[in-house]
Formats: sequence, C-alpha cells, structure tokens
Amino acid sequence: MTRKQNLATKYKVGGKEAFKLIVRHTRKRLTEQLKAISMIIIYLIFFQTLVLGIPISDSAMITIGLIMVVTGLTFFMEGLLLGLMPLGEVIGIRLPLKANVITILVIAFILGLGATFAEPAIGVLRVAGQSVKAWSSPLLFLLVNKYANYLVYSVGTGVGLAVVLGMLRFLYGWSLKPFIYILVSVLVLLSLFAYLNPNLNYILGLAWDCGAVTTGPVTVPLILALGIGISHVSSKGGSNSGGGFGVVTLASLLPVIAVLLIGILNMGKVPEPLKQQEFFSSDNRDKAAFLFDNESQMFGYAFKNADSETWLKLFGDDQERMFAYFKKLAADETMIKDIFGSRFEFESWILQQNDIALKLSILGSEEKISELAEKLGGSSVARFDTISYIKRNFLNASQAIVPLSMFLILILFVILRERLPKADEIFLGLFFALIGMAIFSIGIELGLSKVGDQVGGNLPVSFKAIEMPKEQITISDFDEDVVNTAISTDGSSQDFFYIYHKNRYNAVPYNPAHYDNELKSYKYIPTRGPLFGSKERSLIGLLVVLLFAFLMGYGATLAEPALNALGMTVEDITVGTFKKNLLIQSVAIGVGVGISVGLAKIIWDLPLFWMLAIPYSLLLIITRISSEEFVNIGWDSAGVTTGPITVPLVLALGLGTGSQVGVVEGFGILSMASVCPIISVLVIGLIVNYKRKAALQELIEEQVEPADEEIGS
Amino acid sequence: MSDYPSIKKITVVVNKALSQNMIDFLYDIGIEHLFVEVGRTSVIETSKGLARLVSNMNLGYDPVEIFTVFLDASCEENVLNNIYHKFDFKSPGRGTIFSNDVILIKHHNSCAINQNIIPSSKSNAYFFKELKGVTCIVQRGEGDKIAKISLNAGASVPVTTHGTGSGVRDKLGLLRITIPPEKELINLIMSKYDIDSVMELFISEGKLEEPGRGIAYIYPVEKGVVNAKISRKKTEQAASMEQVVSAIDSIKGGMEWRKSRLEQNRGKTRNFLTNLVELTVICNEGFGTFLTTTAMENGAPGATICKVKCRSKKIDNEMIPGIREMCKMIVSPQSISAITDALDHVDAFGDEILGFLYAQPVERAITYRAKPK
Repeated sequence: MTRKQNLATKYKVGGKEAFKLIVRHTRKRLTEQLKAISMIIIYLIFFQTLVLGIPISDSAMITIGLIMVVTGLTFFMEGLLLGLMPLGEVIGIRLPLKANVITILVIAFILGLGATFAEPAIGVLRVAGQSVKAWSSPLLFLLVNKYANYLVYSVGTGVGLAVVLGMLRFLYGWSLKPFIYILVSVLVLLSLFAYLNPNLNYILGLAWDCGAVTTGPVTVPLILALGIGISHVSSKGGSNSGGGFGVVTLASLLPVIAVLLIGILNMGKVPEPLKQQEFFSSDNRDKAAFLFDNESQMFGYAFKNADSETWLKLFGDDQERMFAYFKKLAADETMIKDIFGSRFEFESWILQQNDIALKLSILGSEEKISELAEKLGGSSVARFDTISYIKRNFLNASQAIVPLSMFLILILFVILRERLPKADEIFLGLFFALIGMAIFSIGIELGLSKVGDQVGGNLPVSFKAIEMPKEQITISDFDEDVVNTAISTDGSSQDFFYIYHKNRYNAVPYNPAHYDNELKSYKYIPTRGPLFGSKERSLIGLLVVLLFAFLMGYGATLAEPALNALGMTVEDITVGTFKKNLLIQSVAIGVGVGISVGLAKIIWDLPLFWMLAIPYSLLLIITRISSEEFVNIGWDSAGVTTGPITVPLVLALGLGTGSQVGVVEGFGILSMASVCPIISVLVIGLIVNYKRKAALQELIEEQVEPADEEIGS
Repeated sequence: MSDYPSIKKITVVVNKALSQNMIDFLYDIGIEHLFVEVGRTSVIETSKGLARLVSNMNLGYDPVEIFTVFLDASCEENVLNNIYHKFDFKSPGRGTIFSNDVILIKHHNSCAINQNIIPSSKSNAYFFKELKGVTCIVQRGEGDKIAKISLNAGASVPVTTHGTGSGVRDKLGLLRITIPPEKELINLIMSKYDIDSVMELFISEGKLEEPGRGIAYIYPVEKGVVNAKISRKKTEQAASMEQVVSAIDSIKGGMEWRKSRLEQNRGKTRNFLTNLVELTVICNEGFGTFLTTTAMENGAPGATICKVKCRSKKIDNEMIPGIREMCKMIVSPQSISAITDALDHVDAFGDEILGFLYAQPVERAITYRAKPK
C-alpha cells in the first residue's frame, strides 16, 4: 500500500516556491558566467577607452551582445551538464557491454567525423585566410578556397581516427605517452619537410591551426563523457589511460598530419609562389587556372585583388583588348554576376579605380562617373538584417547539436536497446544547449567580436600612426585655394590647411589623393599614434601590443565553455585533488603567453616551424617526466583552449596587427595558443607532483616501493 | 536486525601511489574481493611562494584510494595486523585503517565474503579502540569547509569523496534541476572524546540544521589507526608534533589524555536523531538510481550514490566492467525489511545488478527537519 502511495507522491511546489527555486539557481549560474566573462570584457573596454583613448562605437548594440553572451553561456553550460554530458556517459558505459569492439570503433569514427562537420570551425580558418593572395601562396589559397571541402574531409578523418585510437586506448588501457612521442615526432619531421618547401611552408600555419580549432564546445564534453564511460569498462582503464582524457589530444594532433598530407598530395598541381604579374602570365595560365573553379572566377579574383598591370597579363599585354573586354562586361549582366557577384560590387569596384582612362572606358562619360559616385555615396553601409541573423545562428547551433545528439540517442535505442534514463532532464538539457549556443553566438557576433575588432583594429596605434576612418570628416565644396605650404626644419615643404570643426581651428595635412575632383569634396581622415615611443614600430609600442595580447588571451580563456567543462570533469575525476580553478588559471597563463608569441611571429615575421618545433621538442621531455594523468589532462587542455570566445578575438587581433605590418597570412597564433598551455599545465603538474612526492617520500621507507612515477596524480 | 549475520568491514585509506602495492598485498594474503574508491585527503599547507597560488585556502590535497574489504569476523585480526606491519601504519601520515561491524543482509554470489587469510608473522600491532567515525554529506564545494574544521581541531585527516544525492530533489519533477545533485562526503575517524565538540563545529559552521545543507552522522568503530599527520609542515625538531602525539597515545594506551583540548563550544543542545541505520547497497554501474528510487518508495528518505571499483583477480584478468555504485541511505531499522523485500522484488541481487546489501548502526545523525505543524 505504502509503496503505491509513495510512488505517486510528488512534492507539490507552489508557483511562488518554484519561482524562488528557479531564481536562486539561475542567479547562481548567471553569476558564475558573469565572473568568467567579466574580466575579458572590462579589460577590452578599459584598454580601448583609457589606454588607446578611443571611444567605443556602437556601444548600445555591444551591450546587448554582451548580455546575450552571458545568458547564452549560462544556458549552454547548464545544457552541457544536464543533457550532453550525461548522454555521452550513458552511451560510454553501456556501449562496451552490448556491442563488440568493431561496432564501438565504427561509432567512434562516425562521431569524430560528424563532430567536425557539425562545428563550423573551418569557417574560422577561412576568415584567417581571407587575406591570402593566390600568387604568394598558391597551395594555401587552394586549400582555403577551391579545396576547402577536402580540407574539412581530411580534418574530419583525422578527428575520426583520433576518437577511434582514443577508444582503443581506453579499452586496452594503453598509455598516452607513446602516442604523443610518435605523433609529435612525425609532425615535427613533416613540418620540417614543409618548412623547406616554399609552397608547403605557407600551409604550416593552416595545418597547425586546424588541429587547434577542431575540437569545439560541443565535441569536447561529449567525447570526454563518452571516454569516461568507456574507460570504466576495463579496471585497468581507469588507472593507466587517464580516466577518459587523451582523445582531445589525439584530435588536435592527427588533423595536423592529415592537412599536411593533403597539402603534399596537391603540391605538384599548383604553381610555385610568384610575383603577381608572373602568376597571371600566359606561361603560367594553366597552373594558375587550377586554383579557381572557372575562368570568370579567376578574372574576378584578379580584378579585385591584383593591380592593373597584372590585368594586362590576362589579356596578353594588349590594352585595347582589355578595354574592349570591360565595355562588354559593363553591358552584360550575367557576366557581371559571374565575375563580381552583383552589380553593386561591380560599381563600387569601378569607383575605387584611380585610372580615369579605365573608368571612362567602362562608363563612357564623366557625368556618368559623378552620377555613380552620388548614387553609391550614401549606400555604402551594409544593412543589418536581424531576422536572417537570428536564423543563421540558430541554424548553426542546431547543426552542431542536433545531429550528434540524435545519433547518440539512435545508438542507445537501436544498438543498445535501452531506454533513455531521465529522458526529460536530458531533453531539457539538449534544448538548453541549443538555445544557449544560438544566443551565445549571436552575442559573440554582436558584442564580443565587435569589441574585439575595434580593439584589434585600433591596437596598432600604440606603435604606428593609423587612420581613424570612424572619425572621418567630409568637406563638401572644398576649395583648393585654402591649402597652404609649410616648411620643415630640413627645408622640405608640406601642404596643409586649416579646418574649423567643433568650435576649433586645426591645422591638418593636405593629401591630394583625398580630394575628389568630381564631387569637389575633400575627405579628411584624422590619424592617431604612435602612442608609445617617438617613432614608428618602436620597441616599447610593440611591447605594449604583446602585453595586451597576453592579458587578452588570459581573460578570454577564463570564459571558454569547453575548458570550463574540462575543468569540471578533471575536478570530478581527481576527486578534487586537481581543482578546476588551478587548471583554468594555468591554461589561461599558457594561452596568454602563446598569443603574445604568436603575435610576435606576425610582427617580426618569424618562421613558424621553429616556433613550433622548439616547444614541442621541449614538451617531449616534459611529457617523459610527467605522470600519466597530468600528461592526459595537460595535452587535452591544449585542444580545448581555442574556443568560441578566444578565436574571434585572436583573429581580430591577428588581422588588425597583421594588416598594419603587412604579412601574407594571419595563421599561427592559434597553434601557439595551443602549445603553450600544454607546457604551463605540465609544469604546474610537475610542481604539484614534486611537492606531493616530497611529502610522501618523508614517510616511505624501504619496504614499500611506490607503484611507479604516478605519485599524486 | 539480529536475524542477519554479522561480518567485519575493514577500511584502509592510503595514498594513491601505494594503491597498486596495497592491492597486490591484499591478494597475496588471501583476499579475493574488495572495493576501491578514489578520494582526497586534505592537509594544512604551510609552504610559501608559487605554491600558494596552487593551493586553495591553504589546504593541500593528496589523492588517496579507499579500500573496503568485507570479511568473516574470524579473519579481522589477521588482515589488520598484516596491513599494519607491511604498510607501517605506526608512523603518522601513512594513512587510516579501521574496522567495524556490519550486518550482511543479502548479496549476489559473485561478491564473496573473504575468508582464509594468511596470518601475519608479527603480531604486536597497536590499534586504538576508543574511536568513532563521522560522515558528513554536503553540497559539492562545501567539503573543504568541513575538512578544515577537522584539521584545525587536530582531530584527524579527513577523507573526501564525491557522490550524487537524491531525496527531496527527485520528488520535484523537472524543477529538480535547480538543486544540484553533486555532493561531497567527508569521512573521518577520531577519538570518541573529541567527537562532540567537533560535531558541534560541523553543525554550526556547516549550518547542517538549515534546509538543503546536508547531513552528518556518527557510527561506531571497532578499532583502528587514525591518520594524525594534519599538516605538511617541515619538522624543525627531532620529531614532529604528530609523532610526539602518537607516541604519547601509545604510552598512555589511548587518546583520553587529549580530551581536555576541545572542551569548548558547548552550550547549545542539538536535536540529534538517534536509533538509525546506514543501509548500503552496492550494485552494478547504472542501476544506482533505479535501486535508490525503489528504496525511497519503501521508506528511505534519501540516498547518496558513490562510484567504487570492484577488484578481484577475475575482474582484473578478464575484461569485466568493474565499476560499481555504492548507495548509502540513512533509514530507521524498522524499514529495513520492507526495503530489502522491495529490492529483492526488482531482482537487485540477480546476475545483472549484482547487489550487495549491508547495514551498520548509526548512533546519532543531524540534518534539517521540518518543524511539526
């Protein structure tokens, strides 16, 4: 009797009480995320407004964005804890009991491959590669453009193999160390080979960055949970294979090999890096055409990116033929679409050309040019489309979460033939993860990325004078008579004029290039900097930038959701002997150092090979003397550092600085941000271990030998 | 309760680095079947510099493994003596070892009660008899606060483990997600003379009488060795304070001489629950929630589930999953038979769930109790 009665007893919680419970819980979780993210936000805003002295623009939009980041993160983390991680763990525990090894490995492979397709990390690399020029690094251009799909497949295969190897490790209790020794050695040798080849050298950064970004905030917790479940199966598994860690490490190393291999395979098909004129010359035409889908795409690329002398090469140095071609182009809508994408882009492109003869040849008369300039003058600001924005982010989020979790649930039903335990909780968790991720990525785009772009773009002010397009003033009806000439101490002359603006009279330098003859208007763009040091690229200015990079990397890492999840798992597995905070702090310091070093690579154009080979060789030694558990945790934390918060900020920083110092590609920062935390975590691990060993050694007498070097792990 | 056979449970806590030695040794002396749980011990950290960044609240953590062995009462002495000598438990800091009486209610055949232990060559092991055990279950993250009390009071080194709780939570429907289930269990063995004052500190500092804070309970311990090395301080004298204390303990033949140290903090009389039993069921991984729900439908107020590893030569050699779930429930003795029947009814002792059900008396317990209306 009592049994039935009790079964039916659910505590009736009144609306008010329920509300109180929810509010209390939500407040706790919100505070946690706010704490995690506040450091980076306050720091960025403080730096821009107080150190660089530039006000934040779009502040209303950014505030909304930041609120969304915090809300989204809160939901996402709650969703991870309630839905994704328990789901992964249940499958991990049940799978080895009911399925044979082959089935487990097939599922593992599909999971790894699927995770790569689901998380749009490759999009990130495209952004980093957008400044890559086809002629200066053809192979890299091929991989991030025409062969981007192959790139994703090879990375996916790498991750899939990594998950397979990881699961085998758990099942048979293998140590991670031999895997690291072999993979890192192979990688260093492959990188050396790539370093010595001019074409492959450019894809080194891409390959290593691919390894860093593959494992995102959905994959990591899922794979961790799955690994923990599976490592429970063999009693050896728990003690020797690091209790569920290590897969992320393999998933960061194997894709690098995969990308380098696909680079080597395609090496023969592309031209050597050349000057742009030589690249488009008729001798090289066939090889160059291989980089593009079709001829019109190649023409479009050349028009948009190369200079006009290079275009001539496309027409066999025949100017008449080129002008004729442009005339035909202007009249043919489909051709415009093929080459430029849209009429709008074509028209803006025409206006940007300095060559009047060219403009005339296309548009016909001067009046038409002024007409076009008037027409496009106001519409240069891109319209902000809220609906498509939200739709796109929700789509991305569901792409990352739904297929993977459906796949897992399907395995549970079809292969394991079991019910989902606590189904309501898990589905609620998945739902939270989904909306959390969507809100969070909208927030990143609206808020964090914008702040990052602003700070990243303005940062070079500290070592260089740069223009501030945001503060641009257009003077209509500019009369060239107001321009005066000043003389400098060495006798050279300089043109300037006075401007009356905001109740002040200022003398500003006159630049004829900013004078628009057709509209009779002058664009005045104020410049700022260098803030530190007296001359351009002064050491102190660059040091400020590097220090900024360190603090930014540190702050962004504190907020990374995947690292947070890893930290919780580590704390749980080690029953609190390795605290989450300790892990996050040591990783954050490592990422900070890594980003500074990566930025130094960009500023001084240091060879990436040496910057990777040296720390990785060092790591082989540290790995040798570290305990298995720290090796697993340390290497895994490297894979999760570069997540949705760090990456956009790092890209903004890299592109902002890179474009000011003029480099080929912005790759490499992420891979540096990946290797340094391994060193920092392992070193902290060695310190902690050393202390524990010392404490234990005092007690141990000769009759009892410790099991192996695993003291205190 | 007297219908069931009484057996001995021996618990050994040693540093994880010694865990493989311990298992090999236990196999050698004839133990066939044991359970291992991972945990941490906290000690007072006094080092300076960079280490201060590393350690939280100046507590240092050592990973430990907790070995639980169930034996026939006749082999208790042999096992205790063997471990005591082999692992040198007379020097402070080596770990904790203690035994207590438990009542075996029902179990699956695969979990045999160990018998036939090889006797130890040496026999002069010295164990304290005037001990009590305390378990304190609190929200995850609150454990260090409780551990610190024990360390500051000089009682003994606490052993913290992780668990998942259920109780009120599971009756709330989906609203349960607002109460995190993760718990920390702080276990310690200490002199029975100190226990009242330490318990009082637990209650006042841990606010255990407030709703949703946790539970603490005291259970009898037969005999054992307390880990008295409460700090990592380097010794500046010929012997460390812990060594001096444990030397006096053995000269005086007990801990009673230390009694006066903690005679403060009296005053408030606490409303303890008495006459209770700690009912524990160990089952195959994945069934803990199912069994505790069944038990809770039959009178158990709540449960805490911990993961343990089951070790035996058979499990080590073949690839059999060794993870078990240990579900602890504090119940009244009257409800034991109803819970046992209910568990039996759901085949908890069958080949799939591999249940192992035992009970040990609880002298006093404290938690939040709703005021009668």
